[in-house]
Parts: sequence; C-alpha cells; structure tokens
Amino acid sequence: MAEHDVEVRLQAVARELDLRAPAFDLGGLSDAPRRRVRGTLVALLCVVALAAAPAAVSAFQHLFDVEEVPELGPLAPGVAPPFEGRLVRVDELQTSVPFRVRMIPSLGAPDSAHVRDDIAGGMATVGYRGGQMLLTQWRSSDVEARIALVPVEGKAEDVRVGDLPAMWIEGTARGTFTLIGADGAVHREAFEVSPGVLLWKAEGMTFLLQGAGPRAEAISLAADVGR
Amino acid sequence: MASDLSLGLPLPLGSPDGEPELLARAIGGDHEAYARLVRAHERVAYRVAAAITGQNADAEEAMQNGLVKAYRSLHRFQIGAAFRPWLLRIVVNESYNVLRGERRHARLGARAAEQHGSHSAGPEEALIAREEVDTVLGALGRLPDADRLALALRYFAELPDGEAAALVGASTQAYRVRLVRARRRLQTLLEEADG
Repeated sequence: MAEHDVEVRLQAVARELDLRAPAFDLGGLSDAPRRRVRGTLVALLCVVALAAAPAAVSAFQHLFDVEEVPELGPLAPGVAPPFEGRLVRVDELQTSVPFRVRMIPSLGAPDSAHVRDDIAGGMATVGYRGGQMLLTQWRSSDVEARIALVPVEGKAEDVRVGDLPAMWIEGTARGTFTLIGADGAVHREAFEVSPGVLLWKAEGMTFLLQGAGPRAEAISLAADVGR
Repeated sequence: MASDLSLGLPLPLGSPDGEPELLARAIGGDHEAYARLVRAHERVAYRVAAAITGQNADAEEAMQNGLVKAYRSLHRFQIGAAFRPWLLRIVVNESYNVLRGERRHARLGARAAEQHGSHSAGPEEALIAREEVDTVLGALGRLPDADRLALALRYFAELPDGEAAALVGASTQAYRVRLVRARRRLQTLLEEADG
C-alpha cells in the first residue's frame, strides 16, 4: 500500500462518518453533561493499575515517546543509521547550528564533533573518551524522537537529572528520529541502544547521552552538561 | 511533506458568514444561536471524536458533551480568534475523557470487530463501507494518542497545519514531523489489518 492510499482511505472514512454524525442535541444545554456511572470505578481501577505498573511503563514514557514492541526487527525502509551527520572541527560546531551547543565541562574539550545541518533546526553531537561517549542535542520542537523498547530484554527507567525528568534506557531498544530536512524532505534515522542511553530535556532542548557508562555515571555527567 | 493544501472535502469553512453575530448572541445565552453556530462544525467534531474514541455511542457522547462544555465556556472564547480550533480542542479533551472513562483504548481493534458483527445486514456497498470504517478506526485506535490526534486534525478536521499545531501545542514543523510518522505507522497497521 502506498502512503497516498492511506490518505485516500482516511478521507473516505471521514466522508463515511459524516453520514453517521448526529446533529447537536440542543437539549443538552439545559442538562448536565452525560456521565456513565461506572466512570468512577474505572477511574479508580486506572489509578491502581498505574500504581502497579512495571518500571518499563513509566510516568515519563509519553514525555520521551517510549513504546513497547515485541521485537526490534530490521530497520524499516527509509530509516538509516547513523544519525550523527558530518564530522566537523570542534571549533566549527557552534557556528553550524542555530542553538548554543552544550558541552560537558568536567571532561574537557570534546574529541570530535558532528553536525546535522541538512535538517531544519540542526542537530549537534560531541564525542568524548575517544568517541566512545556521545552527547547529542537538538531543539525539542524540531526533531521527533521515539524509543522502541523490547520489555523482556530491556528497560526504561524514570530518573532525574537534577530536577529535570529523564529516562535511562538499556537493553534491547532502538531510537528513531524523524526530522525534516532544510529542503523539506523527511529523514528518518535510527540508533541502537547499547549499552545504555540517557535522554532528558532542558531549556527547550533534548539531550541524548550514549556510552557514558553505568546509569549513575551517566546521570552525573548529564548534570554537568551546559554548566 | 505535509502541507496546508485543502483535501477537497465538502466541509463548511471554519468561519462562515454570520459567525460573529451568532457568537455574540450565543454568549448572551441564545441557545438557538449556538445551535446554528455549531451546525457548521458538528460533523467535524464527530469525525474527530470518532477518530479518538472509535465510532458509535462514545463518539456521540464526546461530541455532545464537548459542544455543551464549549457553550458553557463561551465567555472564555477570545473574540476574533478562529472558532473551530477552539471548539475542537474542547471536543478533543472530552473525547479523551470518554476514552479514559471507558478504558477502551487498547481494545478498539477488538471492539471494531464486535461492532461489525452487530450491524444489521444491508446493501453490500454499505457493508463494505462499514468494514472500512471499522478497519481504519481500529488501526487509528492502536496508534499512540499523539499520532492519532495528528491524523484526526489533518484528515478529519481538515485544520491547516498551523492551526492543528497550535491546538496540540507544538510548532508547525514538529506537527508535520509527527504527521509523517503517524501516517507511516498507520500504513503499517492497515497493511496488517488488510492481511
């Protein structure tokens, strides 16, 4: 099925729904909104279910768009790693993107820098520890990121970087970025979560830290970003 | 890339002639004026409610309650702003209320099949149309909320991308990105459903 067919089907369903759409019931303006008695019970059950939810189904799941999948499978057509972009000199990086690039001062100057300046808004990645540790950053409004997680082989934990909500993901998982190019073309890029990544948001930016070691160390380094 | 192009469906415009006057009268408590005001938007409201809750009684409940709540909130409507996005935001919120109340999000696909079984027999064309509605709404129901809403605002509400983005609290670009991704995810789900 072509993508255009999806649009055609949605439009057809919209027209079909018009045939079933009820007219607004003017009498409702004099009555209380309709409620169903079992709503309260269901709401209580929801609270219980949330309280009992495993860590993988976390409170930050929606914030960071984490979804659970049975398996990762091969990359979908049109999705290609890597996503870092082209290598640039570290001193060139700041002038290549329209936002202030945050570094990790406690680690000194980065070993490497990559930029995605072919996409609207841009994306910057700085490398430390011989390129084994990568800090990627982008404006949250410009790039949609989603994590697919295999619950039986991976986990997504709510953590905090200072006061900020963050997510630590390890195990079998994959991140997919959807970005719109400066030329209007849509790009989709992916990365594998190995061994663990930290994702957090601050000041309108989203940060992704890979290869920083165990969770505690990653959180500690993240707290240092941009200081 | 998504655009603001019209889909060519025969829906009334967002700000029909006479809307300001009807608004003023509705704010003053004129029920008839409000009914006339929302007549131009009720089909769209039902479409969006159906996209979020699935069709049938839940969509109707969400639409009716949403329009009632909008009436009671008219005093907060900023005169001069676009009425349809404001109205749809209330309907969307009410749809989620209904959805949460029913805890049926994860069961939409199964419910769609039940609905199909419960329909009385009709002409073959009508049956096929019902099946298609069930299939597409079932697939929409399996999408994350944000994806489903993005598609509903684009294809069911036919809002320009800028207005839809404002309604969901995102930049236009972020909304378009989500739209592209949602469409692809729906495509996969429809292919699964079609077998």
